[in-house]
Amino acid sequence: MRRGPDWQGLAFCLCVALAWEVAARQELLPPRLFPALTSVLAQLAEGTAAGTLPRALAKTLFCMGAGLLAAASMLPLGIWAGRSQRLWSTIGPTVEFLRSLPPALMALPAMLLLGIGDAPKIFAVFFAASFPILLSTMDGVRAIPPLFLDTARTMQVKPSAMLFEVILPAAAPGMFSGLKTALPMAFIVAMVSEMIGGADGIGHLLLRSQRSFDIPQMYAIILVVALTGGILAQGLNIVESSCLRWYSGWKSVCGRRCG
Amino acid sequence: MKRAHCLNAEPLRGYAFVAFLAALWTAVCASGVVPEGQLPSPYEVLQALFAEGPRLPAQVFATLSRTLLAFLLGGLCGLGLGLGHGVFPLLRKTTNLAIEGLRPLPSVALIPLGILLYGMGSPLNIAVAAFACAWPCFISARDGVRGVNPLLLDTARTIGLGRAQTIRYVILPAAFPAMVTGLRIALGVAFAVEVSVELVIPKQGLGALASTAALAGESGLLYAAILATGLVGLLLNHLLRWATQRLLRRYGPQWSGGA
Repeated sequence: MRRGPDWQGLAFCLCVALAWEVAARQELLPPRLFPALTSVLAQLAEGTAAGTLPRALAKTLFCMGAGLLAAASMLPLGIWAGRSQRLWSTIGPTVEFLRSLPPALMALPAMLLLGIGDAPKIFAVFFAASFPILLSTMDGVRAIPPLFLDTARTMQVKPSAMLFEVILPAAAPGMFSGLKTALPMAFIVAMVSEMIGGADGIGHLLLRSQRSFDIPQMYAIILVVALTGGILAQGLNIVESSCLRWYSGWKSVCGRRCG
Repeated sequence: MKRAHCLNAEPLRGYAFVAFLAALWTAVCASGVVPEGQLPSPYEVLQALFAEGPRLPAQVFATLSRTLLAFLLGGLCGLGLGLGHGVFPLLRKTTNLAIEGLRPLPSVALIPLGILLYGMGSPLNIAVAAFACAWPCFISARDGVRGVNPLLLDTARTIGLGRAQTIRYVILPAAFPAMVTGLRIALGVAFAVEVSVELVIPKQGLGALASTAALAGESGLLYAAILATGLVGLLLNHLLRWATQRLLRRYGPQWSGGA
């Protein structure tokens, strides 16, 4: 990993931004579709100051958070399925079918059953995040080196200690990889459900600003959404590396094959 | 993600579970816990599926053809950019920051921009889905090139291969398994995003079928559309698993055996 600012990359971004600004000012591109970057940024500042952008974003993040929290209920099921071949052979085909559904689709029956509002959004996020979390937890449990379990068994640790002090920490890398897949999916699904039938949230605001031809605001929201996605992913990386400090050290000792 | 697939272990138990769920669903509908018209019974769903039958292939074709076009377009761009990043350090250093900034952007946030640029037809769906599925290809190609055994590169240099020849005969074959794995993930992503775009802009395709059924309150047709979408997704998944296993057979169980 390189330290310090990435000057070359920053220069490239600056060039792209400058090219956009100049092209828009000279009207090389249709000005209605490509407003100048400065007017997009002005719109961004205005929307932030007025509170419309932060409010919509907070709404979306709330639904995402609630859905992800609900999907955390898949952790015990994943641990169980990783330990029990019999459970997986029972629920396997059902899970395989459900996870090949595009998760945004599930917002529709949820709307019929639960009405319009936050509930169908939260359900769709829950549905989207459940399967990566379930499957990665299961993989994580299955990938625990038998040495760990045998050692614990030899030392006659209690079942509860086996679960909380051996299995859970050893399966944590798998759980985090599931969460890494689930997080961007949850964001996408929350936005799609807001676009389909929502009355608020950043996805709804985005589609509305296009429909009312408020193009600078549309670009401003796209910027906000990209930034939010980046911050979420980076935040998860930081949490992961602080939780799994033991793992990276252990992996470098044992090599990749046994992890 | 490597995962041992146990679908064939005890398939009967899995299908018995599906039958049990269907029976449970029928019982819930018959008991009248859920208000009339919100949750159709499995029988009503199958009825709606057969009634829609003659028009279904056209919708499936619309979804699948756009998915494949997006996959081809996004896959080519992603692989090309990823290979470029792996092979040319200058390109990587310059554009890495910009690409890492663009990558967390949820693809569906581009729907409004796509509407402005392409209108509401197929090019919009293809462009958004292609954007989404370019990323897994980019990552896998870049990391595949980075992961080439240095010994192979040293050998190529020793026997005097030129740059183009090294790329053609050493780097591409060595990065091939990773690229195929990336492409496999990408097709799933393309399908999910394609259906999501159809949900937001219900013109044609399976997502549009579900979306219009939900708006009209035809719950039987909605669940039928979901069932059909799930089956198409499942078929696509199995087809891909089979294809990757064939393609990667000679690379050993590490690549061909995994999920």
